[in-house]
Amino acid sequence: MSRFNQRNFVPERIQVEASVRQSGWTRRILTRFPDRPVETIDDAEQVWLQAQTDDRPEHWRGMVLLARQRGPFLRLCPGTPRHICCLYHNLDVAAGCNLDCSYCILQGYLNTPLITLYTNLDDMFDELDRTLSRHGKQFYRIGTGELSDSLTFDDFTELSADLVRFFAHRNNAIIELKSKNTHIDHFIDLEHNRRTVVSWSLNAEPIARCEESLAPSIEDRLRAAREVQQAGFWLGFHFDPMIEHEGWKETYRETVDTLFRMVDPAQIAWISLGALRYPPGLDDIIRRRHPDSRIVLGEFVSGVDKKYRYFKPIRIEMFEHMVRWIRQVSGDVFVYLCMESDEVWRRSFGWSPGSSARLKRMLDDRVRSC
Amino acid sequence: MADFGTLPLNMIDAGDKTYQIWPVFSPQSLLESVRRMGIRTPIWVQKRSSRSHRVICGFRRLAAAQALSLDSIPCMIRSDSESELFYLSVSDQMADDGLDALRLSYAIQYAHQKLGLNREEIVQSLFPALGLGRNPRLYRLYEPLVRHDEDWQDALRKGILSEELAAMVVDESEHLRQTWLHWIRECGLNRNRQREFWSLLRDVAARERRSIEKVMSDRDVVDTIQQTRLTAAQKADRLKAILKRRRYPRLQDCEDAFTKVLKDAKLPTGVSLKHSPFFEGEHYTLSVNFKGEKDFDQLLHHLQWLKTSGVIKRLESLA
Repeated sequence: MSRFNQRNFVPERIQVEASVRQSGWTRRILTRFPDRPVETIDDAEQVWLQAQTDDRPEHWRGMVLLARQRGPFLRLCPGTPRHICCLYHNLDVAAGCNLDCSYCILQGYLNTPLITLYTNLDDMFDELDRTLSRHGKQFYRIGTGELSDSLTFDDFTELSADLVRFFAHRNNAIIELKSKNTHIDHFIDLEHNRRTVVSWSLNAEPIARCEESLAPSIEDRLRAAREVQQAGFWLGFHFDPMIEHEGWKETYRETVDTLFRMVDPAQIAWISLGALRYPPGLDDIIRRRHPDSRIVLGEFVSGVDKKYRYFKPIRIEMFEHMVRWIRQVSGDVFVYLCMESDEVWRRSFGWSPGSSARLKRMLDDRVRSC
Repeated sequence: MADFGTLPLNMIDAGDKTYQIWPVFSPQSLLESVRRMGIRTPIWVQKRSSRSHRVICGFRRLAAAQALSLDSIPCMIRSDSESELFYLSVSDQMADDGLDALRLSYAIQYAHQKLGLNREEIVQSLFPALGLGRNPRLYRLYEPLVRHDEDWQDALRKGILSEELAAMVVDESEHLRQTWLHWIRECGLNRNRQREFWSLLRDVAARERRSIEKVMSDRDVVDTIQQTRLTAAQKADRLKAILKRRRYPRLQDCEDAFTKVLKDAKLPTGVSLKHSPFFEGEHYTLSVNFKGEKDFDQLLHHLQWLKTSGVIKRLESLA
């Protein structure tokens, strides 16, 4: 029995692409589910195509595909035009998530509940090794939480442990494990050399309860964070997406208060803020898949990058309040905005990094030295 | 298998519409043609008993023959399976009428009720036979349309209604559907505007935690629809403004404040001032037309006044 209230994901069936059948990570995962039906297939691309065009999403729910990553594992975050981006690198070890948060962009981006775990991870570590060695003067902040949740499958993949060990001996990179989950047992006792930032996505409690209903509670996430902090890891927190709702000032304030009651701000590498934003079409998907959700009823307008965001004064008001509440507890903790304009930075924070490069440098400097 | 022959009309059960996939309407031109030339293309029938036959294809020709009190009609007597007869019938009716959204909806209903096909079988077998590929979205879009009443079906046939919206509102109350159809007619909403207005209505209702019907019966909304002195376009514009104010209150406040600033700015003819789309950017765009030095000097003087009178400061604080 876990000390956290966490519903672990158990696949209903597993397909394995023939080319990764002998991978150590494939064998590790299959060993954890000896009673699940396993089918070997020739080409994962056929499965992705079927899953994305199938009108019966329920057919793919609960299915895990162990496949070979075709492209590079490491990619620079594409950012968004005319907004300040932190120039983060994504490490694509999985595509898909079991948490099914109502606002999740993966609903539109992947368009299937099929979960793909890439298990040619020897290739990934080779690629990381090559890239980090070749660009030794460049500092990399790398995260696995872009196309999935970094820890949601960790109870059976144990990938976090491999990543923590790998990055512990790199001096020009850190790995950020970004999650709403509490699967911390596979890495918490490892030597990490402060090269891992373990981050949690936080939200106002009513939003977490209604829109992130399959994820552990905010309280549990913060209990896991406290344990990780006691083990000496850097922590990160992401209030993203912030969602305007009735009483949002009280509910976000409560989460900020709970955060600082449970963890020491000195060990926080960064806190990011981002308001709900989505590409055209995602609101229709949210309305269809989550008919009880009210998140699309906000005052969203189309931005210069064609994404929908809250009307600017609403965003600024939310960010201003959050920064003020955080600053009341800690003047030092680094707070930044995800994908916002220079103007919104200035009007929310009273200053702006001015460019993506400068924001990257500031974030790098937070964690560059052990 | 088929036998050719001529059957007396009283051996054909005209009331048996088993293979009539969608309602048919006999054009006057067919009646004239049959009067002059007789029936040259045999109708297709299925033998039920020695004295009774069921029509598969040719409902219009049979109706014309009855209307003209002919004694007999040329027939092709088919003995194919039920599903083969369905495909023959639907192909024949498509050849006569074409296939629109409502007819497709009837064909889907027929395949469900008479042939017992499920949704998957319809997408996989019926749709390709109708030349539609195997797109399951079409099922979701068209399947509900047949459940609309005659008024809505008539509007669908005339292309007045968006099929997508018609499918969405099929289970709404009779009153709501009547009111919505009334809006469409009174405001002359084309398909795109129907979607726009429905989205506004749906979101306003959800934001205010009221039903769409209640929003539609609000006094200002009803008054606008009932205004006899307004054109359809004017009604549509006013209704949209009412709904937008409730859907985007802060944005509309900002738009109103901008309009007030513009009014106070007393911009001379030939000068325009615009904000960025949705006030998302910081920039305002000022464009000017002038002729000659005197005009230019007056313009500069006015622009300077905009600054000293605080108009520019007010713009800065808008959003």
